[in-house]
Amino acid sequence: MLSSPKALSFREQKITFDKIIPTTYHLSPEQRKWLERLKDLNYSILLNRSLNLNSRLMVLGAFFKDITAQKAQKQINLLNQIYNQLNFAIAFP
Amino acid sequence: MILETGTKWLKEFCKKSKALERLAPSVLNNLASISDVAILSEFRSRLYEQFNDFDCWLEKIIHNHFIFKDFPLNNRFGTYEDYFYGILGSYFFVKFVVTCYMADKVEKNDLTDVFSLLFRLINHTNFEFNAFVLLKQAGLNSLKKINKLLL
Repeated sequence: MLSSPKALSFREQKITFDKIIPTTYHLSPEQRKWLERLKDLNYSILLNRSLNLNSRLMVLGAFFKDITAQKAQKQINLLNQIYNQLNFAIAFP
Repeated sequence: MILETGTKWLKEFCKKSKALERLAPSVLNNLASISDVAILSEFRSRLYEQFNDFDCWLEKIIHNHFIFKDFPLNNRFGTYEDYFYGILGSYFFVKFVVTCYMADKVEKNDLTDVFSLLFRLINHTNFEFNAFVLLKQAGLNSLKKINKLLL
């Protein structure tokens, strides 16, 4: 579309409310699925109002630390496992 | 630790940020009256008394920040652990500046102003990476150590 010599107009494009994320075009469906899952888990920790905000951030830190340590990139099952085994003790020093 | 780190960061970022330039005089003025962390905690308690939903608002602001940055699909540096330090650095700085700025103010408008100016800096610069670097330089490289920065 960008290489076309024709000028673009709004009429020529289908209107959509789907968000366009250019940087994920190159990702495989599996990688995208993994990142979407990470996003959901990230928000479920951040929005867990049974803990105060400081505690939620510490839990988020423990979660990210485990993802890095266990090299969970691309493995959705491992990601879920890390989330399920999160140690909430860090939230109550 | 909180006072030294917060003041250092404020002076560091203030040099190149027009948004922070507007906040800095008031924040530094209030900081001058803080001799130890106990007074800062007192300011914090007063802030939470004035605005009961402060944590809830801050949660929404951070949530919005993640959406704006399109995390984790976009704009991430280093490992996930590294990125977390950037997030926590931003959170610490926001809370520190807001607490100091609001020490002599009671209006919700002032709170809105300080948040908007801070996020003009955070959202539109490489702030998280800079925060990550500054934390590492200060030797705050574990969850236990970084816990000391939580106000």
